[in-house]
Amino acid sequence: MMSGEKTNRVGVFLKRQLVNNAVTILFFFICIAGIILANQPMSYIIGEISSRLFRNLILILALLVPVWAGMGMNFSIVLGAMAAQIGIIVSTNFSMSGIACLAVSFLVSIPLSLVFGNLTGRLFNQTKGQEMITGMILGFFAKGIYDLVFMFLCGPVIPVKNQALLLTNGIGLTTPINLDGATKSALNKIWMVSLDKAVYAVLILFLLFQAALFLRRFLLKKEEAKGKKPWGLLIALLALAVFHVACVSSETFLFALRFTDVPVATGILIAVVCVYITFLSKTKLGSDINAVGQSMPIAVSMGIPADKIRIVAIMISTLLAALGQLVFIQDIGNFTTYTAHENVGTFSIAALLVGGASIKKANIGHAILGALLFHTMFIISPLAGKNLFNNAQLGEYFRVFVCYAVIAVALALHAWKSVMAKKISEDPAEEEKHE
Amino acid sequence: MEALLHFKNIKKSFSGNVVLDGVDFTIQPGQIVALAGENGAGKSTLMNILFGMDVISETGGFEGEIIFEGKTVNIQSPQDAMALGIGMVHQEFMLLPGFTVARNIKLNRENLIANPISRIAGKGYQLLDNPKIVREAAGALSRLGMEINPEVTVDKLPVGHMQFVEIAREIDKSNLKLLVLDEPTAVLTESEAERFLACIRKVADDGIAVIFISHRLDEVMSLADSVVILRDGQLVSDKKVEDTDKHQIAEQMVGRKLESESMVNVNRSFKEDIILEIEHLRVDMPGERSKDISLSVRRGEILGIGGLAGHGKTSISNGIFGMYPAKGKVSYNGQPLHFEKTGEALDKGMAFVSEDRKGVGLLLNESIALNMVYTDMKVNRNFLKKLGPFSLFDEKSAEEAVKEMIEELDIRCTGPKQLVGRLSGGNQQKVCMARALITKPEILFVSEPTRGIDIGAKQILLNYLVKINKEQGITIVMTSSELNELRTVCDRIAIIGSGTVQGILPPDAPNVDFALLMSGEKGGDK
Repeated sequence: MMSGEKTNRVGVFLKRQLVNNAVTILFFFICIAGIILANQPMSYIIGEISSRLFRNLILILALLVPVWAGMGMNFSIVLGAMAAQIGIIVSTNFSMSGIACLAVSFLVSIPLSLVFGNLTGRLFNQTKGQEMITGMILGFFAKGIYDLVFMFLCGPVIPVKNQALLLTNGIGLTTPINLDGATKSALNKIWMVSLDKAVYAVLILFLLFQAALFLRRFLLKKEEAKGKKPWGLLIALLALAVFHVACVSSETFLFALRFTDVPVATGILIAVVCVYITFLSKTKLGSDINAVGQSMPIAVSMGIPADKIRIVAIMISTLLAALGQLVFIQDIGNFTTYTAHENVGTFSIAALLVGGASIKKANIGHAILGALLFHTMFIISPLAGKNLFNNAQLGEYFRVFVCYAVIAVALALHAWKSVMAKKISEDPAEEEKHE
Repeated sequence: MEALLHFKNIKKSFSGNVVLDGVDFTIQPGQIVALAGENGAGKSTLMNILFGMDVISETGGFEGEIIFEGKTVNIQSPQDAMALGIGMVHQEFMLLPGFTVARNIKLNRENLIANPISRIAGKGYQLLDNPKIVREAAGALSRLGMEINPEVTVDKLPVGHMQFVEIAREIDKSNLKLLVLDEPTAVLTESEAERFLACIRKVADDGIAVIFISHRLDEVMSLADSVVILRDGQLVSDKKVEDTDKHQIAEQMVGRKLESESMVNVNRSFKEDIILEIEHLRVDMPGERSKDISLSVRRGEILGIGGLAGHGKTSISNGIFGMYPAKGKVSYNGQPLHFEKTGEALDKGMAFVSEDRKGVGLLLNESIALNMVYTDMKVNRNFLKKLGPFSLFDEKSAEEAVKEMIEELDIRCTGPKQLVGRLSGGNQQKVCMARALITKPEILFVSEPTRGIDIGAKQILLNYLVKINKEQGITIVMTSSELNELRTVCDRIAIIGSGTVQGILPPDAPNVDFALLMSGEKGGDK
C-alpha cells in the first residue's frame, strides 16, 4: 500500500513537472531537432549562441522584478530601450566615441528611464490587473511620441549639432544610426577570452565560492548547518569534472569553444546585474515587492505602500532595460533609429517564457535558460528551413511566428495550469480540513 | 481600574439608516469581551469605527467618542489604530501564501541589517535578518503554545494553523494592548477551536484585552469575561458571563417578537410529494461554502433557508444553478439534475432570482423589456422571430408580456424601454423577479429578495411571492438573512450553520430555537 502510494506520488510529481515545464521541454526538442536539421558546424552554433546570450541577457533580466511585483511581463521595457537610444543619439550628437560614448549614453538614459518608469508605474497603478496589455499599448503610444520627436522635431525645432545624424533635407534623424569604429563593441573589446577558458574560470570561481561557503559553515559549526549536505560543493565539482571530460574527449567541442571569443567586461556587467537582482530579493524592498506581488490588499493592510512599491519595480525594470539595450546596440554597432526598440519587449518576454517562467514566477535561471533556447531557435530555424524545404524564407517565417506563438501558448498554459491546480487542490484539501 | 477602551455613546447612520444608536461600553485590560448579535446588528460597523476604516469617514463619520487609556482618540486609519496598540485578526486570512510563517508574522516589521549599499541607496536596500526573523516568530508562536515550524511557507500549512499565525503576528507587536477577533473559529475544527480558545486565554492573561466576535455561544460562554449584545444598532445587554446563560443570549440577540398573525403560512398541510431532493450537496462558493446539505422540497410549499452570513446558505441555490462548482446529488421531479452544467436547472423549468442583483441578475445597460424576457428567450425560445437561420428578438410580442408584469409588480418606470440601471433598487429587484416568472417556472429560487430595498417595495415583493405560490402553485425556495422575513411567508424554515442543515423549524417556533440553531447548537440540548 505504502509503495503503491509512493509510485503514485512519483507519478504525480513527474506529471506536475511535465505540465509546469511544458513550454521549456517543447522548445528543448525543437532546438535539438533544429540543430540536427541545420547541419552546421558546432563552432558556428556555439559562437552564435554565445554572442546572442551576451547581447540579450540583460534585457531579459530586466523583466524579472515586475513579475515579482505581480505585474506580469513588463512590455513597457520598450521605453527603457528608447531611453538608451536617446542616450546614444545625444552622445553621438556631441561626436563622442569609445567607452566614453557608451558611458555618457548610459548617464543620459538613467534619468530618462527612471522618469519613463515612474510614469509607466503610475499608469499601471491606474490599470491594476491589466498591466501587460497597458504596457504593450503604452509601447505603441511611446513610439508615436518618439517618432514625432526624432522624425519631425529634430532639426527644425531641436538643434542637432552633428549634421551626419540628420537626413539630407535637415528634418529628422537618419536611419540607421551607426556607432563609429571605436564605439562599436567598445565594451566587448575591453577584454576577450576564448570560451573554454571563460567556462573554466566561471566553474572554478563557482567551486571556490561553494568551498568558501562550506568552510564558513564548517567553521561556524552552526546547529542548523550540521544536518545539511554540501550539495552546492558537489554540484560545482561535478560540473567542472563533466566539462573537463567533455573538453578532453571531444576534439570538435574543444575546437568550437576555442574558436569562440566571449566579452569578459560584458559578462561581468551581466554578473553585476544578476548579483543586484539576487541582492534585491534579500532586501526589505525585495520583500515588499514580493509581498505586493502575492496580494496587494494584504500588503496594504500591513502598511506596505503597494502603489509606491509597484512604481519602484517598474523603474528598476526600465533602468535595466536601458542598460540592456545599450549593451545590445554596442554589440551590433548600429541601430535602426525608428524601429530598434519595437521588438525588444516581445522577444525578451518570449525568451523568458521559453525558459520556464510564468507571469507569476520568474528567476535568473529562467532568463538564462530562456535566452539559450530561444536564441538557438532563432539561429537555427532559417538554416533548418533552408535544408529541409530548400527555402530559408520558411524558417524566417517560422521564427517570427514562433516568437508570438510562445507568448500565446505560455499565457494559455499558465491559465490552464491555474485551473488544473485549483482542481487538484480542491478535493484533498477539503477532506483534510474537515477530517 | 481605568478602562482600556470606552465606546462612549457611539451613533452612526448610513444615509439616514441608523445602524448604531448610542452604543456605550468599556473594556478593561486583560478582559475578554464577547460581542454578539445578528447580522446587521452593527458589530462590524462598530469595529470599522474602531479601526478608522474609510467607509466610516466617507459616509459622514460618527457621533460619540472613543476613549483609549483615558484619552479621547481620533482614529483616522487602520495604521492609527495599530499605532495605538489595537490589532485585528480578520475572518478571512490576511496571510501571504508564498511567504514563510516567520516572514508573515514579521511582515513589514522585519528585522533588518544595514549595509554599505543601503547607506547610499536608502533603507529599502537593508538586508532581511532571516535568523532573527525566524527566532522572533518562533518566540511569538511559542507564547501561544503552538508548535509550528516558522520556516514553512503558509500555503503548505493546514488551514487550522493559519489563524494561529495571524494571532502570533498581532502579539509579536510589542505595543499590542487590544486584540479584535472577528469570528476567528469559523474555519476551525472543534479540536483546533479548543486550542485556539486556550491561546486567546493566554493572550488575555498577559494583560491584553480581547474583543471576541462570535456566533458560537458555547465559545462565548467558556471564553469571555463579559458579553455585550447588539441588536439593530442598540446595546441590549452588557453582562458578566456568570450573570447570563446561552438561552438568554440567544433570545436577546434575536429579540423582537413577531406577531403570530403576520405569519401567513402556518400549519398548511402538504402531501409528501417531493419536487426537489437535495442530497449531500457541497458547494464551493467563496465565503459561503457549504459542506453537506440534504433537504427535500415539497410541491407547493414555500421553504425558507436561513442562517448567519458565511455559513453557506446562499451557496445552495447557486450550486443548483451551476454558478459555483458543486458536488452531491440533486433530483428534480424524480429525475437527476446535472447541476454542474450551468443552465441545466433553467432548462428543466426552474428559475432563480440571484442575491447578486447587479452582478448576475441584471443587464444594467439594457431595457426593462429585454431584461425581463432574456431568460425566457434563451430557455423557452419565446419572443423570437425566425429569419432564415437566425432568430431575432421580437419586440412586439415581448411588449405585452412585459407591460403586464410591470403592472402586476407595480414597477415604477417610464416604460418597458427604460434602462434597468436607472431604476431604484426595489424596482430592479422586481424586474429580476419578473424575469424569473416570465419563464413560468415550476419552482422558484429567490435569494435575499429584500436586500437593500425600502420597506414598501419589500412588502409588495413578499406579498407577491405568497400570491404566486397560492394562485399559480409555484413552489418557492427563499434564502434570506432576515429571519423575520422568512417567518412571515414560509411554511418551513431550514437553518444552515457551518455548511450543513442544523434543523428545520415551523415559522411559529419560538425565537430561542431559531437563535440556538443559528449559533450552532443542535436543537437537542434544550
